[in-house]
Amino acid sequence: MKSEPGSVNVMVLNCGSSSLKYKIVRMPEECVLVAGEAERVGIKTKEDPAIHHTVLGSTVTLPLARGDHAAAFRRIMEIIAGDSANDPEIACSLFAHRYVHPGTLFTKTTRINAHTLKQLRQTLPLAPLHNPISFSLVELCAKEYPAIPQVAVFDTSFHATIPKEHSLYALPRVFSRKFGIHKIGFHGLSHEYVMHASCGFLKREVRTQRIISCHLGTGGSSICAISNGRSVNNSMGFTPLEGLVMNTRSGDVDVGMVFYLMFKENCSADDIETILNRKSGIVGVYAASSDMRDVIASSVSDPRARLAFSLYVNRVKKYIGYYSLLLEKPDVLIFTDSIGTGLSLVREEVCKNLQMFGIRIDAEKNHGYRSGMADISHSKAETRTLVIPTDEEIVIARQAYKEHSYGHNN
Amino acid sequence: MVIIIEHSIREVTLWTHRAAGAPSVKKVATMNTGDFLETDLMPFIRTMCGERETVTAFAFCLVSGGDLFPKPVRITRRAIDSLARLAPLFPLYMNHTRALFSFCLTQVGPIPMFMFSETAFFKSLPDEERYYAIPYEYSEANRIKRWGYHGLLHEDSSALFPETSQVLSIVLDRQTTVCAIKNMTPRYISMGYTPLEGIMGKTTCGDLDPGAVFYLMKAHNLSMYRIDDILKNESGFFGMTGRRADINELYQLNGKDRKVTEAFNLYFNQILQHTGEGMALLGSLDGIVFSGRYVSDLQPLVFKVLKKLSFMGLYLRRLPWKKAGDRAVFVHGDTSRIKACLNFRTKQRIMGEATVELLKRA
Repeated sequence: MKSEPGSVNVMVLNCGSSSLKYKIVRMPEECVLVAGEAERVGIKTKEDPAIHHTVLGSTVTLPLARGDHAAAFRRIMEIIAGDSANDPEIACSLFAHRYVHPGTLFTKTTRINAHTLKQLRQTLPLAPLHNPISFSLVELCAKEYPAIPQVAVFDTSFHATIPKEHSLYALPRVFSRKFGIHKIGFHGLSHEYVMHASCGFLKREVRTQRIISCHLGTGGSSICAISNGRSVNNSMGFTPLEGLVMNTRSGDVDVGMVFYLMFKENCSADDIETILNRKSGIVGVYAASSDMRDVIASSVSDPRARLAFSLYVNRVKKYIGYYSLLLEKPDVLIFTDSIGTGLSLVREEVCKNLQMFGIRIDAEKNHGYRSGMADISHSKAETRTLVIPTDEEIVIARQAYKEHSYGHNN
Repeated sequence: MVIIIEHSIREVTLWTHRAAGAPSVKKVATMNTGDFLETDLMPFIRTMCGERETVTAFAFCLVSGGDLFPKPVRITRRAIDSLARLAPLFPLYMNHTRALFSFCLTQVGPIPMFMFSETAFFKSLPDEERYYAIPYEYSEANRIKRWGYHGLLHEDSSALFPETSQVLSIVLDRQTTVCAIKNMTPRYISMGYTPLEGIMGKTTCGDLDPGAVFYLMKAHNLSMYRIDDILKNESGFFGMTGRRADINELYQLNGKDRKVTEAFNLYFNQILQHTGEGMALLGSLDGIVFSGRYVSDLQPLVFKVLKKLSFMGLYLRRLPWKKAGDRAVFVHGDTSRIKACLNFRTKQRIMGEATVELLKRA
């Protein structure tokens, strides 16, 4: 596995609110040398955190002490240092960070230097669950690996095509003009990846397809309506708090309750923001865990688990209903990320009674799904329902390599 | 004759309901003084009563209280006392309401008074739509749940179809709401804990990312009270267009004025959003009904919404759709798989007829 001259080993760091995915990809060959995910990072769950680490095709699950993303990153770098000792080709020559919310400061992939670091610091309040974590890793990399350059790849760029009538809020104009308040949308890297993957799988042209992409993760989740290869709507809004019910995030709520709670409970904006971002969603309703797998396991005996499950499923169904009207019937419905690919019961309940939108799945195909890309549609369904594992990291690696190699010439 | 009374913390509006066909008369008393009941309201009521013996009942409309009073009830001292339980949630409104009811009870003597709640229809909303995904304890302790709105019109619209139907009801009014109904029971309602959630109104923002509120407070130092006021009184159509006109008046400028057009594009999209959401929970659709005070004036917008459902087999008759009194007008084509309808009955008509029925039963 010798590298070609000019090759770059891009280490992709993809921080979720409760996970840290990583990959070392040799570019431009797109050869994955190392991959893995630290699970259940910095959250309350019944099971212990762990790292699933794959090197040269062989996977091991390693224990991970409870701690934050920085601790998980340090542990990952120790494991990779061990791999490098066996194979010197496994090394990192460029860090590529997925950065969730750059506000209006960055619209494309950017090399990180002292100036951009200063700019990124200003964006921390925009996505309190993600930006501070990613920013801390950027700082940590700069401090502990100063010789390795860094690039930030943004989750919002794909949604720059959302039309105005879908991105505006009904606020005084000064709010959008002066303060930049409008729907921005997130998980763009994942939605873009599965859009291309689905069309490749079905042998269809991206520009002819109406697609609903459901990125259902253990941390954040969003749904995207895609028409002719362009994002036309996303369930997340100005911040990742809006939209679907998530593990610790409420998703859509009546903003009137924010003022009521602040007044009634004598809370600050920070307090209520923490409640809605970290103590709501699945864990807010179910209390015992924020993990959908725990919810499903308890739902027979625990009414609060059943309520959490129904809230979650209903919210996904509702967005599918909305986007089905918006697209005037989808050609393709995609489930991706850990819950989207890992929990057949969620897919089954979400797709139940959606035949009027053309959506109908085959129970056997759905529950029989194990891995890879699969079509779980019923033979008579008008809409093709696919399960596709996402690969945000390869999109990040491509964009980071392009910026690193050619950015200064662009 | 039945006198229908609707009130907010700012004004009291009165209608008369007579036998079918006779027009209602509207009067408004502004509640801007401490002794408005004696100085403003009573002269109105006395004028409207005319020959006092012709008034058979008073019917009041409450914007909340549906969980306490799931059916219209006679207003008694005991009923007024029980409204005190809602005072912590709606302090201004409920105190006004109790004062108004108490005053009227003493003034109109033996004439029966009934109250109808706009949220009563939603008493049977399923828990997964009733609750928000916030800490359960907060929902319970603070009664932060989705209470709904326009229950009287949504229930009336659903009754246009057989009992087992699956119906989507859309009320186009100062507040616009969408309700999905199955077997005469609500399964979904767009408006939530407060009138802010759902579809934008004349001055209200509608759905908004709560993260934007925190951002404005922290990054731009706007106070909670200022943002609350902006979202309730300076947003919606007024915020987007700068024009303080009713929605039906503004619609005359749709396509002619850029800001008004943008506002109606967003309004259309929000109606579409909640229509799709409600349909997804129903599973199938037998009929869709539009009602509310703007249903006549916004016919082209209604047409545009319904056209989005043509892939499901909804076919429409051509515009204009003629109004025939306050009867419902079906606007779908002969081959349509889904029925579409405009319901011109007003809330006052519904309350008046229901009050007459209550009197008969009594």
